[in-house]
Amino acid sequence: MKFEEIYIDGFGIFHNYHIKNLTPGLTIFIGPNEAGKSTILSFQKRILFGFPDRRSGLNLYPPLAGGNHGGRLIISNADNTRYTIERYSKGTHNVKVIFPDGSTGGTTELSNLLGHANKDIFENIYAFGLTELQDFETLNSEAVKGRIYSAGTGIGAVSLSEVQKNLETEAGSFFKERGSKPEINALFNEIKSIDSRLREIEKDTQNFDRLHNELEEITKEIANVEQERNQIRTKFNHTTNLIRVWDDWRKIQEAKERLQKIPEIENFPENGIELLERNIEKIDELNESISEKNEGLKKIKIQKSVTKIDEKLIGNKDKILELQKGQDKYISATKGLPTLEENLKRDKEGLKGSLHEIGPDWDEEKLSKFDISIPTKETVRRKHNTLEEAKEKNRDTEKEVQGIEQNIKNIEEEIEKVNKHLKTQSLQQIDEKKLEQERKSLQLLRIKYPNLKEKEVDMRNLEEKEELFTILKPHRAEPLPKLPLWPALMLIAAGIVSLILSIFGNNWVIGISILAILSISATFYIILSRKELSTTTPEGFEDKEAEDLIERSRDLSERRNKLESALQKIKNEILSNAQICDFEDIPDPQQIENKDSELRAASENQLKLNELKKQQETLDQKLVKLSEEANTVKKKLEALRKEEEKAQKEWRNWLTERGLDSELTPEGTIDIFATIKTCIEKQKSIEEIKVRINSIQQSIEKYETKVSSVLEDCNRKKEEINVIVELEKITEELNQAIEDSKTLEQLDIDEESLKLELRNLEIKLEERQRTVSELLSQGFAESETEFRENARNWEERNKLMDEILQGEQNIKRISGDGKPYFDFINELEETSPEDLEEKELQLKERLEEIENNLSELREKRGGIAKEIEQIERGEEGSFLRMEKTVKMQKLKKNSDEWSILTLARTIMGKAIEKYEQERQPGVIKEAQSFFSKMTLGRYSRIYAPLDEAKIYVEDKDGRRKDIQDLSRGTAEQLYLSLRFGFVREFSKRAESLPIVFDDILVNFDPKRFRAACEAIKELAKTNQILYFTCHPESVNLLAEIMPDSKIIDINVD
Amino acid sequence: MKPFSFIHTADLHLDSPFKGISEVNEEISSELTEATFKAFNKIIDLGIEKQIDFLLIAGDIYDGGDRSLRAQLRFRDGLKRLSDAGIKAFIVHGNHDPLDGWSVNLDWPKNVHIFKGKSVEKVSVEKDGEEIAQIYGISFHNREIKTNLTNKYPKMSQSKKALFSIGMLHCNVGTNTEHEPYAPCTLQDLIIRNFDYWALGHVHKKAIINEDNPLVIYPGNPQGLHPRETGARGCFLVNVDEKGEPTAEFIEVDSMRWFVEELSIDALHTEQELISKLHNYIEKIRKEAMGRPSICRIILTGRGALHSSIARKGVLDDVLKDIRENEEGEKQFVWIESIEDYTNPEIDWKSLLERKDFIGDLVKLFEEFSHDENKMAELKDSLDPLFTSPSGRKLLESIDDEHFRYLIKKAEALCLDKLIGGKFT
Repeated sequence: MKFEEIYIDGFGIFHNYHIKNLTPGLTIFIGPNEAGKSTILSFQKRILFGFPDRRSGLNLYPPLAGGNHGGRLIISNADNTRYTIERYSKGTHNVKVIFPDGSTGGTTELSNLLGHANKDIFENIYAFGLTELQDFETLNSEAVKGRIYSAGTGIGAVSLSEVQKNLETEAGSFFKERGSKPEINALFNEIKSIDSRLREIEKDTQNFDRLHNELEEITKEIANVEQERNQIRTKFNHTTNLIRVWDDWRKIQEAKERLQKIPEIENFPENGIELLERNIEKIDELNESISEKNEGLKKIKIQKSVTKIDEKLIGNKDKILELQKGQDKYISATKGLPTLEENLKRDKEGLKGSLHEIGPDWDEEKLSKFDISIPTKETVRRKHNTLEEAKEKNRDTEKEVQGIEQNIKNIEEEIEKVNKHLKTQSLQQIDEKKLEQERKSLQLLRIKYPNLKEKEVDMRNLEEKEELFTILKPHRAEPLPKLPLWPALMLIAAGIVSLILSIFGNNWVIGISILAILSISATFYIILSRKELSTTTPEGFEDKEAEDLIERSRDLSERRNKLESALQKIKNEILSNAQICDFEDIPDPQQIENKDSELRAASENQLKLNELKKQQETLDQKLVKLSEEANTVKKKLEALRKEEEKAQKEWRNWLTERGLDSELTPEGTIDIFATIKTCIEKQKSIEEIKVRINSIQQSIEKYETKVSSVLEDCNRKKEEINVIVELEKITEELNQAIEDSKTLEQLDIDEESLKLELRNLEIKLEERQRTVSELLSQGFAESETEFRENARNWEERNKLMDEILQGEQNIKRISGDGKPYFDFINELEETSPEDLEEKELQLKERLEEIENNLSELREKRGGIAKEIEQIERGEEGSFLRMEKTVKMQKLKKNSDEWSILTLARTIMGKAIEKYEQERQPGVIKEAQSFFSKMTLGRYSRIYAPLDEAKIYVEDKDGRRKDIQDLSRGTAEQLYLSLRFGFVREFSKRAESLPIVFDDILVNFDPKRFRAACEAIKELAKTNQILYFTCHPESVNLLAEIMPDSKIIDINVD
Repeated sequence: MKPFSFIHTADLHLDSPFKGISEVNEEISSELTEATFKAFNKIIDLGIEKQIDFLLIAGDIYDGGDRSLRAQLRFRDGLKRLSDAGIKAFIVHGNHDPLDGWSVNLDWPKNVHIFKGKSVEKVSVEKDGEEIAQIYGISFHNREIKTNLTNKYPKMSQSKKALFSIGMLHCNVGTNTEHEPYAPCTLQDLIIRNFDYWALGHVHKKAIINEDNPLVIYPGNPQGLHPRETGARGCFLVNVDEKGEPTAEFIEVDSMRWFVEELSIDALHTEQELISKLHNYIEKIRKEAMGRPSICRIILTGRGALHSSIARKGVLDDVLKDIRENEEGEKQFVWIESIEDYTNPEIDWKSLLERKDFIGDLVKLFEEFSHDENKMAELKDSLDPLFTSPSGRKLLESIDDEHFRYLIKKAEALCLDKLIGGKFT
């Protein structure tokens, strides 16, 4: 790879700085201090490997002169393909690689171009200054070291030492000789602890047999003790039972004693007392009911005597109820009557008003006679139409008369106008015949005149020819002078002048047309003149012509004579005609034309006059016709007016006949018809109201008569009555009477039923009394008191017997029936409660003692059993064994892992060793060759032991020297050689990269300087070299050694 | 003669731990510790259900070395059930449970007969008062019986033979190198005794080593305890008809089954593909295990792109974790015990060997180390820190050459992976 161009957009002091055409070999950049050498060097590094972080403390080279911070490098690779590498600090900082085909790439593509050399390698091996050179550590940086040892390993960017370290760490995570945390160490410990726990469990199981024996013994002992305990417990229970039944036993004794004292009764009815009490109670209740019923009967009798009823009222019940129904109708009739009377009065007044509207003398009688039938109405309408029609006709005819009179007036005016015209026209009367003659002569004149002129021209031509002959006769005809050209020129000039003038007069179109016409005329003139010439003088005929001419002149004079006579003839003819037309001499054409116009005007006038006369005649005829028409129409009008008057008269007669105002129009009459109709309707409604009032008054009277007759019937007649009040009163009384009669009926029924109940009660009472006496006899008693005494004794006996039975049962429940019971009784008879309690206490104490012993034994047995069970159930052993095998398996796996890692590390270590021995000298060998040359053979060997990160040199006498023992210059030469060696080795395997030096030779003495230059020359064969320096002598020397190197002055000023 | 039936089992190894499992959870752990007992109980159930006449157990009932009281107690409980059902049991002890080994004093049920170890004992078996068979047997009186015990058995005369005769022996027939050579003998040694049936024990893989006259059977262990003990495990139910002809039927009783599945990564590209493939395997196994829980070891083989990603530390552990989590709560679980990575990177080894760079050197060196025995021995020394450490000596098996070569190959793949990543070609 090599740099082709460097373009700095903005970086440090550079802006838009372009270095082109870098050579593939050496390019020397010369410039004084601060000219920007280091800036360019840094620029290259940064474009390739990126801009440092702001916090790095490195010089960022901001674009001081402007531009975008960054730029591009154009590079080419071995096959001369060019790539652009571009990077700007703005945005992502990311590098952009542009391929020849325009596609782009990033870091990966750049890395490929650089043969995967990273920043460290580039900065330490390829692009460095004095500082890096002097610093041996830069060569020792991990990346570089790895590269030195792995140059050509084919492992890409992986560091062997890192891989080794990695393997070691990983192996360490599995096992360390003196560790506890690594997995295998941990497993060892875990397995150990499982083993020790397993041993403990084994010990436990050894006790198993012993425990079994102990268990058996203790089980036997427990069985014995339990037997003893059971015996004592039986005794104790027996004693307790005796104590328990002691009370029952005593009760039986007492009951037996008491029983002997109570008299015996044969029998007693069951629930005797209860039955007695119940019957007595019932008897009391019955007696009470009977007295209650008697009281009720008394009350009813009193009530009945109090109640009285008006029979008459009840007899008139239906009538009263009917009257009550008619009550509402009566009330509304009496209330409605005044309203109706009011309506009647109002209607009568209304009728009167309407009649007055028709006419002052109109009354109801007239109204009834008037016929308002539809035929009558129709008659009025017909009359109205007749009148209207007559009027209409009158109007139309009047209009017609007016129209005709107007027409007559118009025609008369017109006639006057025509007459006026005629008067003026008749002043210029012309003789028509003369006019015709003059026109004919003038026509002839017009025809003859051109003939005359033609003949005259012929005449002149002949005369000219004759003259010519006379001239030509003695000599040869002279050539005719050419027609002069000046008229043509004049024409053109005139054209131009007119053009100019027309331009001034803003009328250049006309000017141009005039010019054109004149120019054409001029051209014609020229052409014509030439023609004339050629025709008049044909060349080569001159000699013969003389004879011809004489001949022809004779001819000519003959022709002239003829012509003269013809001419004279025409002149005469013309003159005669001219006289007719009032010309004194032969008129020129202008005169003829004037005369022609005169004649034409005269004939036109004549025509107009004729027209007017015709008009006059027509108008006169029209006038006569119209006057006749007017007379006819006037007659018609007269007749019509008479007709109208007749119709009016008839109408007025009709009105008078009917008693209407004779001044009424038919329309008004139709309106009165409507009023008359309203009046008739009102009259009808008055009649109706009267009828209604009459019928209402009748019904009121009828109702009142009915009311008073009912009152009379019921003995309630009064002098003056208010119908409604009385009716209400009597109705109320009637209702009371009905109510009272119902009450009385109910009382009768109640009385009957009470009597019946009373009889029933008395029967029941008897029955009860019988029952009581029967009960007493059953209880062997004479009286109630005796009965009660017997009952008490009976009960007492039974109770005591029950007590004895209960006691015996209680004892039997505990002792058992049969013999055990009698044994029990015997025992009870022979002992006392005190003895029994004493015995019970003793037994109880003994029992407790045994129980305690027993539970102790059981506990002991439980403990042993538990121990055995624990051993038997002990699954821990199984689990632990399982855990152990799992851990063993894990251990095996981990040991495999550890072994793999360890084997990998061991073999890789051996491979590195082998590689260092067999392959690494490539770098050293190259470096050695450079070093030997640079030190002019003083040092012959560089030595790098495998196990040391150190380098020694050997001088030509075989003395080994450490770097510290070398002078500064020599040390720098060694470092430079090593770098050169590396570059060489690296170039063999990967892309050869350009090398950038920044004044690295300053500490070299001139001889070694030269030698170093030679070495650079050597290197320039494989790598492009950019050499930055501020020493002109360095430039000179390098240029001298490498004449084809390029020098670039980077002094920006 | 009366027809009868018996069950022949051996190598119960009650309460013996499963071997070769690198990780278990609690659920699996309890299932595993119960597995041998469950299998044994199934045999007892089977005997009771089939109403057999007797049970033969040909040694290695438990591992005396483990001193498991639980094993003995549960064994006694099982026999008691059998005895209660009126079924007899005949027992010979083997190398794992020799008579002089550790045991506790237990009262054996009355129907149990344990053969003694000094000489071959003969026991007659009766059915309904009629003698149906004669059983000959001898127990290991100690572990180290390396002599042929068949010599102690009588030779039955062909003509006199009226009763069905059974020989019980814990031994290694032929040259089965997979098992330790306890009581070695040949098949011929057995045949010439003229027995009708040889009930053998010791070999864990079921085998009918002689089909007829006599029928010689290794029933195998009824519960596989090791990744190598895959497949169905059980016992033999033998029916002897009126003519004295035995027919043996194998009956599966294992409560948990071992599977080892190989899976090639050739066609796999992503971890996800691997996981889904593993799920497929799990479902296949679940089906094959017929309702039992099972343990499976997955062996990844082949070479491919997936190698470098699964070779990274922790990747397979994560895959395993993922799969196991999926199985949690599954009644018939399939426990992937481990995933062993035998895969190789996609390497063109030949082209690597031809390289002239460091990689070339490295690959050649690996080649040398895995072929040259001296160099291998030299290389083994590098593992001494672990293997000769006190604990290592005690707990780690020494590495055999084959395994060592495998480790070297893995180390090589690891190196290449670290140095040139996936870019092997």
